[in-house]
Amino acid sequence: MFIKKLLTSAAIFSTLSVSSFAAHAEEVNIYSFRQPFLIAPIMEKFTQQTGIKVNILFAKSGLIERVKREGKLSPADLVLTSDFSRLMMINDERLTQSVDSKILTENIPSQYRDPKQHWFALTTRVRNIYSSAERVGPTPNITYQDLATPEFKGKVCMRAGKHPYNVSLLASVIAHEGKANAKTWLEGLKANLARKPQGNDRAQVKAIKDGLCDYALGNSYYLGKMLADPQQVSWAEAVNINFPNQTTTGSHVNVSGVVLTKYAPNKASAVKLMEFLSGETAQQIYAEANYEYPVNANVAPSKLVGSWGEFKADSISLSDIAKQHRTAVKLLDEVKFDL
Amino acid sequence: MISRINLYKLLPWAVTCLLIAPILALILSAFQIDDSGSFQHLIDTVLWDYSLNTLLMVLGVITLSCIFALPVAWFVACCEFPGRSILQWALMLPLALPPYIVAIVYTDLLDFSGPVQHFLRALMGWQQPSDYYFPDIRTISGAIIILSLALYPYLYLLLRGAFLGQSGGLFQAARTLGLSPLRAFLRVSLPLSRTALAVGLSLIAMETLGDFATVHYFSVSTLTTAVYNTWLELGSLTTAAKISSLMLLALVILISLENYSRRRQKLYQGSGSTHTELRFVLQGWRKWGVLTFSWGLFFFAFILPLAVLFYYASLYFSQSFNLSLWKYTLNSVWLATIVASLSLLIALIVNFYQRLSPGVLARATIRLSSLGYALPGTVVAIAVLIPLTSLDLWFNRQLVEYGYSRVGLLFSGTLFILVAGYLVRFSAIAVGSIDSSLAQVSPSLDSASRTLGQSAAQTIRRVNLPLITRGMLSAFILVFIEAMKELPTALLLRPFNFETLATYAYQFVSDEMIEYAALPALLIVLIGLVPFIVVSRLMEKSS
Amino acid sequence: MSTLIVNKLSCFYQNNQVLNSLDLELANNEIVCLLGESGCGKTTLLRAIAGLQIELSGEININAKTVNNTGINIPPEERKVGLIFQDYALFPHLNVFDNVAFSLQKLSRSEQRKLVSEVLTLVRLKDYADRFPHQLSGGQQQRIAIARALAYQPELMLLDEPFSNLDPHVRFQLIDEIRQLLKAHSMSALFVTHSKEEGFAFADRIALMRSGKIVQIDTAQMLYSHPNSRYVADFMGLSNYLRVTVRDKYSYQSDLGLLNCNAIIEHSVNTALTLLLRPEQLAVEVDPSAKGTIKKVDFLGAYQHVSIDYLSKHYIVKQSNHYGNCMQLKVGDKVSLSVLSHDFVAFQEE
Repeated sequence: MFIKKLLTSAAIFSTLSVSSFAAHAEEVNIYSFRQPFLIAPIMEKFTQQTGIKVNILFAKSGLIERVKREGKLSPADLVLTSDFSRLMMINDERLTQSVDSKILTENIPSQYRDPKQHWFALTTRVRNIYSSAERVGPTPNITYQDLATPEFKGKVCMRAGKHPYNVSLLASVIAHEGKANAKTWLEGLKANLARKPQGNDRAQVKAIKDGLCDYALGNSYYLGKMLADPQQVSWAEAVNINFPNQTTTGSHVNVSGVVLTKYAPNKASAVKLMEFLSGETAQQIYAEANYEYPVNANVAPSKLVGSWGEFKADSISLSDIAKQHRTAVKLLDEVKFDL
Repeated sequence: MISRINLYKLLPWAVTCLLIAPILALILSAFQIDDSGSFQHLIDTVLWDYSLNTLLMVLGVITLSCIFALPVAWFVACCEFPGRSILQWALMLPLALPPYIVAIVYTDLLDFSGPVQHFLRALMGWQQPSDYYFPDIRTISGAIIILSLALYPYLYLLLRGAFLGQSGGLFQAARTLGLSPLRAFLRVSLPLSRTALAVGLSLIAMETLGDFATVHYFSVSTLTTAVYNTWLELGSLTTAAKISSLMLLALVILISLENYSRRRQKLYQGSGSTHTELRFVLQGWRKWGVLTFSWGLFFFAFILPLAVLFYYASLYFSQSFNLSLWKYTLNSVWLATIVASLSLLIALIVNFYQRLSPGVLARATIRLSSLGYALPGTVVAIAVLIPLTSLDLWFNRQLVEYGYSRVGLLFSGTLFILVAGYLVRFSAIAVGSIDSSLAQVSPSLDSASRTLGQSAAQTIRRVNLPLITRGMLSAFILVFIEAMKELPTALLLRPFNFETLATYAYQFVSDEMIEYAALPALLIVLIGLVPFIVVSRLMEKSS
Repeated sequence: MSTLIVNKLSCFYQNNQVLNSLDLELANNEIVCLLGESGCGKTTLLRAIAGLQIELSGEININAKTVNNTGINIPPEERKVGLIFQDYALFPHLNVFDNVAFSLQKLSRSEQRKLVSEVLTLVRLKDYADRFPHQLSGGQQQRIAIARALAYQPELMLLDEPFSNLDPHVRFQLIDEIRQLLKAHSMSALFVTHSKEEGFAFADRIALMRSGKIVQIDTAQMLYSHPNSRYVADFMGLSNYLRVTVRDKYSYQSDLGLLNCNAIIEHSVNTALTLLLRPEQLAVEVDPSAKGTIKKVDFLGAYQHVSIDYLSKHYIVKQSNHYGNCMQLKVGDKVSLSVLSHDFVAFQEE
């Protein structure tokens, strides 16, 4: 009896608030690991073109857990990630559904999407090695493996090993060389660090400028952003960007990507947005505003990024790297990399 | 008659259950079977380093906070020197600054490319890092200093109150018994303030345990780091819950031990002349020493970080100012107001339950309702998600069963969950504040009122509440400020299209673009200061 | 009719039995003092009667109304008892007028003013209505507390060590005043103290408590002169004990010789007993050949206490200073000891 009453009132309440909210035009809800200011221009374009409203909820951690807990009732249609491991994690939790879209398969090359159509990469970024323009100059033949050799002692800077970008790099090393060799490499790298891992990728560039170290690991697009910022351009000009492992396996590439959630309430609109994100307009903005490499072959990188030249990317499949993710995290603990 | 008794017993337990349900859910998930071997992996590798760091952090912050707060609290309460009346409220202001913002500001100032080292290099003609030694701020010591600068006001606040409440005659008596001012302070004033000291230190210890942003920024790995890593990178919530539960257990044991050692001590409001009439007038080197220390502390804990924020905000004003800021400010303010009011209500319910029916059980409700404070914000967020999403799923199933349509996430998809998360995290502050101010109201006042024909409810309204107005106000302000600053809970639990100043600032902070975050950060601080100043004014007028 | 009847009242607190099947009865217009050492349960009893103690068994009646019994626990606000505290318990946030008018909310403002001024006049603090508690002396605060209780017109007044925070000269003046006030209003009162002097001055009867029980209840005079146990005897004043055997219906045999009793002895001949001898019931006389030695002389003005060792037993004798005879005794003097004849109090050997 009591439950019945409660339910009635809830139902009335819901027609007043929640369902009126649902009835409000078309919209797509995104849980995003990427900062809203990075993707806002793209979403504005999408709304202009389609009239579909885009709601973004940004957090750096916990979003997957939230989707999982919300289950069938989750309002999230899409999850945007800034790296590959998150993409795989949400996939492994079985919180995604497959998207059968011709536009997506045409826009995105096959190595950048799930064969089962559950996840799609939108942009790629290279794990570069920056070198001091003043003290070292360009080093086109440098490899990730070099950073662990004795000549580099006290010359290397990087952000925390546990950061997804570095975990992903380590996972690729494990995938190529096996756990034991990767461990030797990681220990060598730790021994060569000029300071305890800290800061973000920009901070490493700054450290090279300040003379704290000569080499640093960093993602390609940060350099573009720093060159565009009048306060930071002098840092960026102090480094050369190098594509590692050109003579061997190729540079490690990470991706940002998107998945459609299993219980997406606005599936049709969400798929429209996914298609839009892989389309030329959006890919153009990714390339120009964020200095990322577009996955869509019809869109060229920005002029600046293009000026860095062509490079050979590591051809190993993303899912092979993803399989080593946990091993990589544990390895970082084993050598106490961040301590 | 019977229903009345039941209601007043039921309410505090209902409140406590609401607060501890998330923590219970967390503890329960710690006992789930976990075949990932993550916990064993941690034990084999970094758990002991993390534990040691955590211990060092907690001990370091507690010690340094004491070094900061004890002297200034005593100076301000018991001594007379120029500028005392300004300092006594100014020293609380650092509470309004989010610790991670202070951390970023100081790192920018003090690291190799910051202005301080630039200046030194220019002055001394040094060229490279190897030419000179400069302490690295991104270390455990740096983290301890920054957290102590940000957290000492809790201790200061409680100690000042305790010193003011003591009879000044006791200190004078100790002096006439041949003790120097310092020894009189150590042997009389300090032991008498033990309750305040214990409560203040446990608040600071809990904040330190719960901090992730600052230690993460300083790349100091603590147990909180372990919680995050196992959960986010290894995907094992069970192990993360296990570590969190162990941290809570350690804390509960520590606080119980402290309580046990204090069990025979019962202090009532001192009678006789207070320190206000018997302030120790400082002169000569003592005066200058006190002035330097107190203003120095205020400068480094508040003025300097605030000035840097002002500088950044003015530098990037055109880029960071937009009309949405107004909306985010309103969101922050009313969210903080709601949370502060509800925390106060919870604190009153729990504390009056304890006063009306004292006993182990009532004491337990107070303890339990405070646990959430020691957990990192993101962990609290997950812990709140567990029961509330389950509730939503159950509720929607019921709706469908009875032939209605689903309503969606009524609890976990709305501001309800955000408020709940804040309450789990911050009720402890209000509960503690009301607890200590209620403890100073003599129980015979209650008995007097009851025997003068007033019911328990009337007694609370006519006697107790008027006497703890100050405690209620400070509880409200403290929670308000905390809620203004709170980030991780808001980030993960907010519904779509709801930004607070903190979450808005965070998208820039997370990309180490502090310059763009300076304006919203400044707003957080300034708005936090408003109730502070209003209330101190009111209190000055009334007394 | 009795104002208060307490019947088989027991109270446990943390596994201690604080009240142990206690009985007590207060007549109309009677003031009874609960006297005892701290921890004997006297304050608990007061709180129980006021309704502030929850875990109780037994029965309490106030003016023939049951306020406590199995299944009955009338809350304090419905019991109409006035409670006066050691720490005065004036509400610090209210001034004197509002304190006194605290229980008078239902009356109109003018009625309140009339009644408050009446009771303030009674306690002679009519001009203090605007003051705050912290501006008053201890004695004044306690008088306000009394006024506050009186304004509520309670059926029974309970006072919990109300005078112990006051200076001695203020104390006995106030005791006198309040006693007269209570008597003038025909009000019964139960009064807790650990000072028998206060009890003597304030109460009609004194109930001596020990371990949660009343061991004896009677007038002060009777308790002093006819205690029912050595505990009561010691509590009420200095006592000497003398072992005796019953010689016949009118006399005892003892170390101090033959003692003639003013009343008939009911114990059988040759029973061994202990006699209570108050210091004023002994007499001392200088006698160089006697067996007593003076160990100490405490001069107290109108009289002095003389400590004497007699046959390796210790006695205290009170010597009145009628004729300046206090001058005569010095430490070390040999003295004889004699018992003044009266109706002896005798205890069975323990």
